[in-house]
Amino acid sequence: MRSPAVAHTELFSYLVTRHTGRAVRSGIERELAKFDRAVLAVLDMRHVPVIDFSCADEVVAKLVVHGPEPGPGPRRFFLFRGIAEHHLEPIECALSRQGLAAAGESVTGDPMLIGSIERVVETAWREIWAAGLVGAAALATRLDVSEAAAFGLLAELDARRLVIRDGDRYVSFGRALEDARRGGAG
Amino acid sequence: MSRVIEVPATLDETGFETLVEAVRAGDLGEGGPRLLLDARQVSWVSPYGLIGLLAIGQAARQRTGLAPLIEPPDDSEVRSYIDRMDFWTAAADIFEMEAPSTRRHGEVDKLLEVTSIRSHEDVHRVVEHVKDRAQRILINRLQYPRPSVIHFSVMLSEVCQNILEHADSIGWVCAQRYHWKRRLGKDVVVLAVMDVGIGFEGSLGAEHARRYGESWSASAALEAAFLNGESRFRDPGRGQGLQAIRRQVIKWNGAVRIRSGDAMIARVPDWDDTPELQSGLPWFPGAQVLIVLPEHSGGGG
Repeated sequence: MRSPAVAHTELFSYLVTRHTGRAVRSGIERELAKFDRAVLAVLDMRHVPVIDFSCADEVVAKLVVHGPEPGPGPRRFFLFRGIAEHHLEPIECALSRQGLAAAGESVTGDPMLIGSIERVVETAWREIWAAGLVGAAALATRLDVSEAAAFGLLAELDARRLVIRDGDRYVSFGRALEDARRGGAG
Repeated sequence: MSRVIEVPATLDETGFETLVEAVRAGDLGEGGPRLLLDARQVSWVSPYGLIGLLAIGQAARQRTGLAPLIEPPDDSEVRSYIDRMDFWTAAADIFEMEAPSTRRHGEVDKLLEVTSIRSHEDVHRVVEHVKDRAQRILINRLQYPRPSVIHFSVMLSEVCQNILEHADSIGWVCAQRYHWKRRLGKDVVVLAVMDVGIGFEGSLGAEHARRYGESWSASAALEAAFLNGESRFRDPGRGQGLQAIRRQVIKWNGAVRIRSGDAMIARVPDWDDTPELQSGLPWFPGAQVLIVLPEHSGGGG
């Protein structure tokens, strides 16, 4: 598989009001539209002192939900970096309200899934993050479940764009970023 | 010709209701008479009462097409407080009056002066402006944990946006710390936000009224928005703001009341005895929000 492109965006200042959220999202979507292949968008929130519920809906939930569904057009993946305690509630609420989940990293770099996700799916996601790249058989071993069950988990994570599928292997965002760094992608 | 309405001596949420009733009985209609709010006897005013004067003035202006008049309080302390809260700057946009006072009389435990909300830029300004004061008041005076400053900013943003998103009208916000000696024996922060726009019934009506049929009313609209997170928009991401405010106020054992049309809904803490839902109040346009956050007395935050 050709690695996805990586697009870094640093978000600054107060992310409050729906109007601001729309403007921020539009800017990100314009940037992502320039890519003609799959892209992993890394949105860094370390310098966001406040995000309100409206902005979390506009910037996080609508980006996640508006990503292209199966069909033509490159896939978009999102990783929200620098997530602090005070970002969590608005983002969690905005995502959960629509049954969505997004991948994130805490300010200390710990991976996390935010939003609406079953525990078993989250466990699988963490295993993939730790391994970097797995297939169904390897994940089944790691989770001590059947290969069919592991495949089901991978299919869900793929459908929700929380991992990147490469044939019959599934790549974590962390690994994709490492590969991009090594290969100079983005 | 002017219709003179006397402002109650104690201008808080109860005084506001008295004033609304008096103005309604004043029979103001298109073309007049012009409203004159006589506030000379006012001896105490809360943030809710203060921006209540603006709301009543603006509603009268919308109804009559004439800028109302206002007689300032005689009491020097009340006048000084009103000056410090920057009331006259906002009032000058509504009332026919002389140039607003620009005097400042020392510091007051204000969190936020009377501020008009017309655009999202105003909301940004309010949220960014309040940070240092919120830190000083919430952490030092109310003993709230440090993250409360951010939670308060979010609450402020959401409640102000309600004006922009749902009222289709100008609104005002104001906040101050008090010591509620008689009512609670504690320090509190009082946050008031008002507009005189279409109100909850009007805002949610297009999307929800048909489903409710004849039971659709201001109180039904308030319940739908405040308790169920329903919104005027079909977008499932909408309607989170009030829910978030309610949750946060519950965490802080505070009170929140929203008045709209002829109804009021409240989150009532153990220290308050306001009814959770009232209807049949004197009708008033828009929405009027009162949030009371009491001093922390131990436990989580």
